[in-house]
Amino acid sequence: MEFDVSNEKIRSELGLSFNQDFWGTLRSALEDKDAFLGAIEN
Amino acid sequence: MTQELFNTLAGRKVIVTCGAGFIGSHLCEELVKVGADVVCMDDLSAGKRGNVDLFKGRNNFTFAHKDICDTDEEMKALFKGVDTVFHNAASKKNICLDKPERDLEVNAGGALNLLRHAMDAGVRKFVQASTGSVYGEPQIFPTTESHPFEPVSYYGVSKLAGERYVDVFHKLYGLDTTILRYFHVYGPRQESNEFGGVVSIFLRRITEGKNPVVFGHGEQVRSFTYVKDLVAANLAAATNPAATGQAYNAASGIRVTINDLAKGMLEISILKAICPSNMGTR
Repeated sequence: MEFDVSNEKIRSELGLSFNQDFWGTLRSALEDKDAFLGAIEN
Repeated sequence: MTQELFNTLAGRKVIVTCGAGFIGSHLCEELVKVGADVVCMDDLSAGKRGNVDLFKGRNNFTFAHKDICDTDEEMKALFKGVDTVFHNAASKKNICLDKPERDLEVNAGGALNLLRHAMDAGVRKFVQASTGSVYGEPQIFPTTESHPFEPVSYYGVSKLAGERYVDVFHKLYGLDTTILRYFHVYGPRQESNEFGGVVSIFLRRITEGKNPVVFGHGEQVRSFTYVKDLVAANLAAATNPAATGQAYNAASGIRVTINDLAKGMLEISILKAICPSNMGTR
């Protein structure tokens, strides 16, 4: 299944922006891998 | 301007269903921060108390151990004085296909139950979390909100039914509603079991010293969306009048293949010493 999703409507009508730096965000989020995976342990 | 709108939720009572879940807990976190009076409703079937423990002691946070299908007096009392409902709870058993009836019960019946309570209590705003699964196998690219609904999973069918109930309450009773269709959400607190997202599943394997498992050719494209962006989308939906009666794709628009994800995550994990440096990609 392929995904190429338009977010034009939410950006134009609600003035939202989405983080485009996927790898940078992922890298930051993984700074604390235990927090990232915390949901399964607690 | 957007943050100013978010701040208008200060002092308002809000309910977040599945508030102790992955996305819900991030939403609770931001709502507590802007000063809303947050009721975190969760039956803990997927949500974890640990996800909201950091709010313990905050006087604008309450945890309610409730199933969204409950119709008792306690449920009625929880809705008293509520301004906004952020409905994030869902049953997602489609992966193992073992309980499709629970999908329907929660994703359609639960939404209907919450909408009824919202109407009875005079709730101002109802924000419904939905899913890109309502489109089924997309045929038109880029996929906009006007794409035909052709779900190919129990989950997609039941979430579409939930959306339809939301539309009915908007059109029949004038309830202010907004639907947000989520796509491939990732971020901290995501479950890494079989019901979690591919990012957390890959990370779990990597931390266990195993390579990510890529199904098929791996060139499937995903539109990964960071959980904090979804929080902003929820708050915008709740506070921006333009969102009334609308449905939106809440997706980053980023395009990443599963192969690239596996490779990239291994590289990051090696750099951060999450996994042994001699691990390969396949």
